[in-house]
Amino acid sequence: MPFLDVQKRFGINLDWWWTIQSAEQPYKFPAQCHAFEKEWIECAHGIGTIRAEKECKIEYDDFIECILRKKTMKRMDTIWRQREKLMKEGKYTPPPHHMGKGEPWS
Amino acid sequence: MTAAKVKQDMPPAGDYGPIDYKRNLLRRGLSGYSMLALGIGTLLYRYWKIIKCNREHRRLQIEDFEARIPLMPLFQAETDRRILHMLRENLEEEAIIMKDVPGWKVGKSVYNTTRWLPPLLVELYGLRPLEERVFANIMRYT
Repeated sequence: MPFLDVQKRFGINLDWWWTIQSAEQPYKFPAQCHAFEKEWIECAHGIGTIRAEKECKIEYDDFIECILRKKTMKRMDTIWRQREKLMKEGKYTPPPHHMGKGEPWS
Repeated sequence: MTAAKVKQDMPPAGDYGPIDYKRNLLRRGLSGYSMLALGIGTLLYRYWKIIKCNREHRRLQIEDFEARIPLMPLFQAETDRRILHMLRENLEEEAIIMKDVPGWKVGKSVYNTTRWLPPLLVELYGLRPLEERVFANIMRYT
């Protein structure tokens, strides 16, 4: 309920753990992007959307990158394509540990 | 009509014997109450036995954990060494592959922060054959 915080009044925690990723989780399992979300929320809380979009762009970009991994995949894709191109032209052969014949690492 | 004797199917001489038609349920076995008591007694005995076995199982499990927990730093250190080695190899390969591409910074992090992030499976096994990545994906959860 909006103005009656029932859970805080009775000291119980029923559903806070699914509100944001950085909330207190049962069994204390952290989310993968816990740190990024925490930084972004701390930066952007209480200052309104328009200001937050301008001032917290760095944290927001990192957070979205952690969740969606678009830039990582784009980077890997570029490397893959370049690798395929070079292998087709014959200028590059992968070393043995990249072809499945590496020694077991110890 | 009694001129010729017709051969008919008649009862034997002396008629049939007496027929058993009354109820004949034997009064044997335990009574209802005692069977109920036997059932409930078995249940309670088995519950107690389960409790004891669970406690014993818990003790054995604690012993297994006590063997595993002191070795965890060793395993974690090995895994960390292996991951760093693989990332280093990938970095060198990336430098070789992308040396003709203009404007490419080798090993550039896509994030604006310098925090250590656990590498994705794609980052570790990206340049290796697909079976290794599939196997690593399975082994992650075992």
